[in-house]
Amino acid sequence: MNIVGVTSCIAGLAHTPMAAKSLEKEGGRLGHQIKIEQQGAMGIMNRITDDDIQAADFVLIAADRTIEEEERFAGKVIIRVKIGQCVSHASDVITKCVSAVEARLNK
Amino acid sequence: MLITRDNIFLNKTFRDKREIFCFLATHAVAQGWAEDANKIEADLWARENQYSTGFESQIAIPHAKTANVSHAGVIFIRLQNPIDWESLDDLPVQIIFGLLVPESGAKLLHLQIINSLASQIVDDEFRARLFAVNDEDELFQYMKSRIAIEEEV
Repeated sequence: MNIVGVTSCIAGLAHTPMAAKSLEKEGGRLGHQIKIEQQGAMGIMNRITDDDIQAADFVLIAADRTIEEEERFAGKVIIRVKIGQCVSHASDVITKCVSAVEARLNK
Repeated sequence: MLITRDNIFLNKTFRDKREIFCFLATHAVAQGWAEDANKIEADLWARENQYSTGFESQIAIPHAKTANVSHAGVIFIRLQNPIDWESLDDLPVQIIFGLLVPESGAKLLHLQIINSLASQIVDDEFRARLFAVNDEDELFQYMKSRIAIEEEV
C-alpha cells in the first residue's frame, strides 16, 4: 500500500524521529511505500506534499499532541495510533492498519 | 561539538532513575549548560511522568526541553548493572541517552544531531555497538561517524 504519516511527541526530540524511522524501516520491509513527516523540535521535516497525500491509501497519525496542518488530510482515511507503539512495534502497527484499510476497501 | 568524550560514561553504577536524573542534572551544570541542577532534575521528571522514556532493548532517553537550559547537551551513560525503568518491554535499562535542549533558540545543528542520534537508536547495528564498545574513545568515534544530517528542514 501507499502510506503517509506524521509523528509528533511532546518535546519533539526522541519519540518523533524514532517512531518515524521505525515506521519507515518496517513499512519498507513489509513491502509498502511509506513516507513519514516529523513534526518535532525543528518544525516540520520530510514534509508530505499534496501529491504524496493524493497517492496515499491512508494517513497514519502517531502523535500525543495536536499536529500541524491536519486539514491537508481531509477526505483521506486517517488512522490514529500511539506514538510509543510505533517506536517499538512499528511492524504490528502497520500490519493492523493495512488490514483495517483493506477490509474497508473490500466492503 | 554536541557529542564529546566528556559526556560519555561507561560502566557507571546507579541504583535507580532518581540517581541518574540527579547525575544528569549535576553534569549539565558542571558543563555550563544550565545553572540550577534542581530545576533540571524537575524538568526531567516532568517529562518522565507523562510517560516512560524507556524504550525496548534496554535503552532509555530521558529528556527535557526547558527554559532552564541555555545550551543543548547529550549525555551517554552505560550502566554496569541494568536498572528498572518501566520500559515498554519491561526489561531493565542499561543504556541511557540524556538529552537537554533549550526551550527556544537551540542551535539548528544541535537539533539535527539529536534527531539523527535518536533515529539511529532504532537501527539494530547501532544499538549493538552501544552495548559492545570497549571504551569511551571508541564509542565517541563511532557515534561521530554515524551522525547524518539531513538537509531538508
